[in-house]
Amino acid sequence: MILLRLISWPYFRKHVLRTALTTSGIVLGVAVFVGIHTANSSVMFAFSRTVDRIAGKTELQITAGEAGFHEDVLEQVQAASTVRIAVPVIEAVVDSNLEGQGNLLVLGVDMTGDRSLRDYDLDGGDDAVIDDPLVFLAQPDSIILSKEFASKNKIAVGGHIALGTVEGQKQFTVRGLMKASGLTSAFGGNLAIMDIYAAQHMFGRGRSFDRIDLAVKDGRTLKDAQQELTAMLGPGFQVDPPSGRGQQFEAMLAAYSMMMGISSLFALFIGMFIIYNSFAIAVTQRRSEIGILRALGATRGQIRWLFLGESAVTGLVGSLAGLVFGVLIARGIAASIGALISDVYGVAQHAD
Amino acid sequence: MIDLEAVTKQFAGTRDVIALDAVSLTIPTGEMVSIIGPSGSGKSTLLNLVGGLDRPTAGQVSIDGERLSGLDDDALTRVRRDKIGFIFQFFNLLPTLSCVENVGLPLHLRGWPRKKVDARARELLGLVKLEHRLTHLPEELSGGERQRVAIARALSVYPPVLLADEPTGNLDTRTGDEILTLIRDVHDRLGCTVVIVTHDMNVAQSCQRTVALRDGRIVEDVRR
Repeated sequence: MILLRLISWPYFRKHVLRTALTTSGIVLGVAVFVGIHTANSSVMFAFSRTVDRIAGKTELQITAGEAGFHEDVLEQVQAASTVRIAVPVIEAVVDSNLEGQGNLLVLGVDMTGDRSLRDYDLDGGDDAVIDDPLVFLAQPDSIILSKEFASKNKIAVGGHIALGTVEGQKQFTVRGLMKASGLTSAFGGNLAIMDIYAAQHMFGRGRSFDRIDLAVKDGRTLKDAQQELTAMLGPGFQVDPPSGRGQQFEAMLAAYSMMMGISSLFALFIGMFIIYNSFAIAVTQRRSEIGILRALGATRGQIRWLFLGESAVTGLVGSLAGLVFGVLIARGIAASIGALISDVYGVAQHAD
Repeated sequence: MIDLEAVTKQFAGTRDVIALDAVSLTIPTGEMVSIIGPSGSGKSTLLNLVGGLDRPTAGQVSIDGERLSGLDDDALTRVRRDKIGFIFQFFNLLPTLSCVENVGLPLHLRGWPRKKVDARARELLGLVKLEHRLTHLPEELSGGERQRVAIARALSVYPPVLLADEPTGNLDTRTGDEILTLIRDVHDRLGCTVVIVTHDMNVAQSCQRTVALRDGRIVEDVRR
């Protein structure tokens, strides 16, 4: 310790630029590494949370790739011995046509059964529109928005919103608003609900569904249901818990994550290279100092510990600064990954 | 006592150089010896071998009966730390340390407590008449003062052996004389063995004994 104070500290003070370079090498490496990894995991976390919120009490989800599957599958699934309730879902990402609001995720659901899996917690409007799905069927332009989204855009119940559909832009009438809850906090509140049959029509799904959300009968396990449904539906269908979608998403983003991972490793490598060079130069320049210390009775071990101590102090300071910068970088990257997800999946994910 | 038995030092290179050729020399405890000879005669090599800074190619170097060639690196360092003080031509003070810190450095390396180090360093700087320069950096001192600090540092553990490599080589005549007087004074007071490598015949003649080297061999050994 005394040697660090006597030998290293005056050296650092005399060679401020080199010390700064070495430290910034560490800061760079740690910041990029921490930033990218934090951003990746925080976006993944945000996505899984969104999936969970939208899933509600759903225990298993049936999907069959991008194209979806025929609506007849629903009857088969509902008839399965392990299934308590099964509801169809269509997910469509549409341009909200509102400045600065980006896309809106429209969930097409079967209002008769869906409320046993998801709580819409209506705040305004006529509750009857939900209690009587026929109103929704009769008025296919009906839509429910999250209260947050509606108030941000000054849309009241009875108001209208224009959304892009396969038939071009269409006016939708807001029939209800959902209170802030787990469901509406998904996708940063950019969420809308409409009837599934209207959604099939508006978003060109024909007679297909994107997904079936289901809950398992009491006394039956998820594994039982998964086995029964997989056997019943055959290949081409995936039967997974909602968290499985997070994993699918993770797989989808794997290439992106890997690229970011490689970049962060590269930054770490550059950082290491800077540090190595800086220390190599320092050791070479300090040969005479090492020689004097050796002549005065310093053991090899003492010299080694002196340099290791210097590295440890530099490393600690650089790493702490790197962590701080890493968090800042993570925020930036999370926003960029969020934008990517927005393009791929839906509206922006809000990573914490 | 310093004892060299048929010590040879050969430096390997494109052309091998024999710096010392089977040199045998005994320096009794408390003797003040000068080593003289032209450049390349092996004077500094001999000093480095005695100081444990280098190892001989053949032969034995012993200090107080302890054979240096049988020691591993750490043990050799301990001998250097406990028994030998070095004075160099170019002082070799650490430029970032004050006088008192430079003098205390060998004691810190021995793990002495700070207060004890500080007290000893001040005492030694007093001995070399630099008590008014305690907190000065080497660059703030004259050549003679720097060499005084180096001598104080060499004495920090009161070593039984003091090795000086051209201690006056970088100083003007008057300052050189002062330094020589100081070394003689230290020798008389502490009774340590002093080996001085020098080109300066005045310095050489002021020692009790002068050993002359040429081409790695002892050609003259005069006691006064």
